[in-house]
Amino acid sequence: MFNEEDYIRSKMGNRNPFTVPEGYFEQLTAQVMQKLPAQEMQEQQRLSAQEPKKSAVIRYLRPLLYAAACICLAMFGVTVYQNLDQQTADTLQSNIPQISMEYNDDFIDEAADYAMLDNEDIYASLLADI
Amino acid sequence: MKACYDDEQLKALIKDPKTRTRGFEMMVGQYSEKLYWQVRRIVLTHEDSNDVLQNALLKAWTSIDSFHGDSKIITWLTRIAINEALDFIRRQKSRPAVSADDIDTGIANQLMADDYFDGSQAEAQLQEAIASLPDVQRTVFLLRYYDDMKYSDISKTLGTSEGALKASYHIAVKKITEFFKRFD
Repeated sequence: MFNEEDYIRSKMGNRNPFTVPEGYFEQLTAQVMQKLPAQEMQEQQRLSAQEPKKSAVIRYLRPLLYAAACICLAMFGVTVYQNLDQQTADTLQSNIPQISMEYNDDFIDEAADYAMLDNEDIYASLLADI
Repeated sequence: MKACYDDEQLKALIKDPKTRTRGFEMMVGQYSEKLYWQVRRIVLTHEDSNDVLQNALLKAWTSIDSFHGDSKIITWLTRIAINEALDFIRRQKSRPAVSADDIDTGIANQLMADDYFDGSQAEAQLQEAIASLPDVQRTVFLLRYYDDMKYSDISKTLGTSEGALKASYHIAVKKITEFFKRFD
C-alpha cells in the first residue's frame, strides 16, 4: 500500500491546486454572520443588551410598585365602604319613613272620614275578624 | 494574522445565549478557511463550495444547542461540512445532465477550464480519480492525503471505526493508482 501511496505522491504531490477570489477569506466571516437568521440574531442581541438593564430597573422599582398597589387597594376599599354606608343610611332615614308617614296619615284618615268611622269602630271590626 | 482562540473558551461563549453570537463569530473566523478547503476538495468549484460552506455553518448555528462540547469544535464542524458537501454531490449526480457537454467533458477538463484551479493536468486527473470514489473512500483519502489527519480524528469525525477507515483508505489508494497506470 505504501508503495502505491508513494507512487501517487511522487506523481502528483499533495499541493492544493485550488484557488479562491482575492479577499474571499477576509470577507467570509462577515458574509456568514450576515446570513444567520435575523430573528435569532436579534434575540441574542436583545438578551445580551437589555436583560441586565431591565432586571436592574425592576429590582429597584419593585418595592415602590408593591406600595403603590397596596395604597390603591386600600383607597378602593375605603371608597366602596363609604358609598355602601351612605346608601344604606339614605335608604333607611329618608325613603322608608316618608312612605310610611304618608301612607299612615293620609290614607287612614281619608278612609276613616269616608267611612264615618272612629277608633272604636275600627278596633271592633278588627277584633271581629279574629 | 488571525486570532487563535482556545477551544474551551469558544465552547463557553457559544454555550451562553448572551455571548453565543460573538462566540460563533469567533469560531467561524477561526475555522472557516480550513472547512472551506475540506468542502472544496469534495465539491471542486468555488461557487458551489461557498454555498455548501454557508449552508453548513447555518446548520451549525441552528443546531448549536445539540453540541454538548464532548468533542472538539473542529470535529463537530468538519462532520457537518463534509455531510453537507456529500449531500450536495449526491443531489448533483441524481440531477439529469444539462447538456451533452456535461456528459462528454470529464472533471479534469472542467477543472483545467476553471479560473480558480491552477493545478497541472496530472493534478486535475487526480481530482477526477478521487471524484470517482465512493463517499467514505473519497472522504478518508482527502482527509489523510491533503490534511494528514490521524485515523483516530477521522473516526471521531465520520463516526466510523479506525479499522474500517484504514481499509477504505487502502482501497482508495489502490483504485487511484490503477486509474493512473491506465494512462502510463
